[in-house]
Amino acid sequence: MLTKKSVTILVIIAIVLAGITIAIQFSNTEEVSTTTPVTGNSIKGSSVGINILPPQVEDKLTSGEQS
Amino acid sequence: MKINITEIIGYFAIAVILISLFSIGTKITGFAVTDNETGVVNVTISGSGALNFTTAILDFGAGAVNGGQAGATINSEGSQGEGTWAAQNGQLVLENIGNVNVSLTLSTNKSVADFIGGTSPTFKAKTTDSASNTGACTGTETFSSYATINTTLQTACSVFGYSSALDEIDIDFELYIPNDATGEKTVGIVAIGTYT
Repeated sequence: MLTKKSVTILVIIAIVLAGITIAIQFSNTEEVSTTTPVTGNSIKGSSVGINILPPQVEDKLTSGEQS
Repeated sequence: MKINITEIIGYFAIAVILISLFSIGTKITGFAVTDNETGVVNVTISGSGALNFTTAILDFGAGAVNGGQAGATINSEGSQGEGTWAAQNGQLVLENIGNVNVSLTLSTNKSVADFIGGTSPTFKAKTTDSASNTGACTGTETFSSYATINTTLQTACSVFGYSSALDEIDIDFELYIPNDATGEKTVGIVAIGTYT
């Protein structure tokens, strides 16, 4: 014969164990993740520079001449 | 027969305890597929494309078209053609610093007429894999040899890799400077990496 006290203890133990069991079941569940393709742009800039001087004019002078 | 509700609850609790003890450590799968438990570690790594000009400025310096010449063709590989510019052995260097391959397009921020000016100037670009980065740029390569670069987006590499030692390219430039162009000139080079 089960006494009220023993039944109470059994119920408490049952609730605790049931909770643990449920928690373990959920923790073992493998999550299926989905990946949303990521799209985007990366934009970078740089520069090219040059200094263009006036065209060279051929020097008509020859050695010994004075301008 | 007298029903003792206390005993029923007690036996029910015992049943729950037994079921719980049996179930702890097992998984409900419908069918046992393995006797081994397998741990699962989930990690999410987001893809991200990013470009970086490790060499962002290319300056040809000052020079002039030689007298009597209609123009001078110079490039960043040491050729100064019919001009007085010092030989330029440098180029822009672009690196994919992201973690995904990107499709790379190159363009300028102004037309060649606005950049160089004068009569019939040209501005061309050429991409090559940087030293020790062979295979960084694959697929469609518009600038595998000197080709006109302008404000229109053109595919430099349809696949620009991100793997270490496969993620860097050199961009050389060639200019034709007519003798009626003068002044300090600058043009922006725009690199766009598109990833999916």
